[in-house]
Amino acid sequence: MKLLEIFESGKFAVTSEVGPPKGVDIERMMEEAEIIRGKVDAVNVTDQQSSVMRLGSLAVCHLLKQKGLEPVFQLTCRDRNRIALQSDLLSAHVLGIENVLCLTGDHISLGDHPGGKPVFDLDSVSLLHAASELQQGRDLAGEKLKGSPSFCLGAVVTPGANPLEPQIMKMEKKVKAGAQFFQTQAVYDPQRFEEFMNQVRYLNVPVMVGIVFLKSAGMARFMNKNVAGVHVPESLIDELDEAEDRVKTSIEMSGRLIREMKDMCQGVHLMPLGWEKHVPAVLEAAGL
Amino acid sequence: MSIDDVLAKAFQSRAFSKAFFIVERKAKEWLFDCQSCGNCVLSHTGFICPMRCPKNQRNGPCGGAMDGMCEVDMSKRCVWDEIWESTQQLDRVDLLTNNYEGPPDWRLSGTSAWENMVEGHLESPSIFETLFRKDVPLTREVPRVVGQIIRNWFNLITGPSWRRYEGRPSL
Repeated sequence: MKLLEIFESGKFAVTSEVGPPKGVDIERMMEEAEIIRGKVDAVNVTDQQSSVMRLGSLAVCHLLKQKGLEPVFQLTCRDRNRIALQSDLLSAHVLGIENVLCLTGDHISLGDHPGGKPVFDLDSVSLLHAASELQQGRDLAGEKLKGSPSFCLGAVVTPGANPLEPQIMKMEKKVKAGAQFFQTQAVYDPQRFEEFMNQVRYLNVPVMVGIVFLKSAGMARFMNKNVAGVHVPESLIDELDEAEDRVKTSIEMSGRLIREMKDMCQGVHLMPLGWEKHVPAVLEAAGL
Repeated sequence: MSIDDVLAKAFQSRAFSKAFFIVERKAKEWLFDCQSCGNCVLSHTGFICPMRCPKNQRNGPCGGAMDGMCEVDMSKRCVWDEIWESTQQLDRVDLLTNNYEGPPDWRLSGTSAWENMVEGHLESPSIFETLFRKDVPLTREVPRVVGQIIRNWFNLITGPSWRRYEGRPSL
């Protein structure tokens, strides 16, 4: 099922994500996926997250699809040129994968093979353009396809970027290139998110607010210092610092953030980063 | 006869073409830290080369910039931060928003962008259409553009300018 159908039905969409393991032992990942079965509308499968070499996104999407879960295939421009990217899009279609999230991808030098050759033949905008072209029955070179795929295309945006205007400019280009929904980088400041949503309202495209579970005050401080476009307000850090039951406070906090931002956007994208088992509790706290 | 036609005729001479490229490449290397991709979009991006970005982003920033610095090398400014600043100073942000830059043609890498342009190998709007605004007299527009190129060059060689940001990390 395409995520677009959920947005069109007016339902508040919920996605979560699973990260393929480094290796071939998929048991734990599949268990994590089972926990969120029925709780979310679709599950993102990350593509070599943080530029760390892992099991591929396409294979895991296929496994999830076989188990009856709805995958969102994350596709980055870091490792593949335009031929491989288009080919993987065709492969995704024949494997029954309907949702694709097109990203630029982290740079190779930040991962575990820092000396590898960065590809970045296409960027996220031209990747979306390529996917749209494939849906029209032709490839980037203008050659005709034998049967064309059909996708629900997603993209990402960072509402906390500074300056924000170039982000919105690129977001507009992504919409023009075929993006049908957006998932955002983690947001912890509802007021700033509301301002962002007001600025992008003219694009008329569904936005799913990103929530990374804050596991501890240390993690929040680390993200403030090292993760681009993410700002955790001091009040939340203090709350975690003073918490007696860290897990309970964190779940309550994520739930509260979702409740506060629910009316501003069309969905939420959860990034549990190992806390998949707490996804149901967070959704309950959020009243979803 | 337009400049395009004159150049197209001149490029038919192998000697001219080669000499032109040597001068173009060296000049652009000096002025813009040009990567000789042969698919030049400098006139749309405020005379900051987007191919200097480690991810070769030609349509906008990637979202990995921290306080305007590049996540790949935190001692360098995000190329798109520079592009945004330069196009704003030139009042030409419309060139960024209105142009979808297709992926570069890598066959043109290491060739003259001017020659590629006059011979019609580039899809993006010609530099003659985008270099100067039509509605502003050239006597004002030329010094503005030249001034901006000098300003960008000064920024390029003096490294990151910290003046613009508040609460930035100390180096």
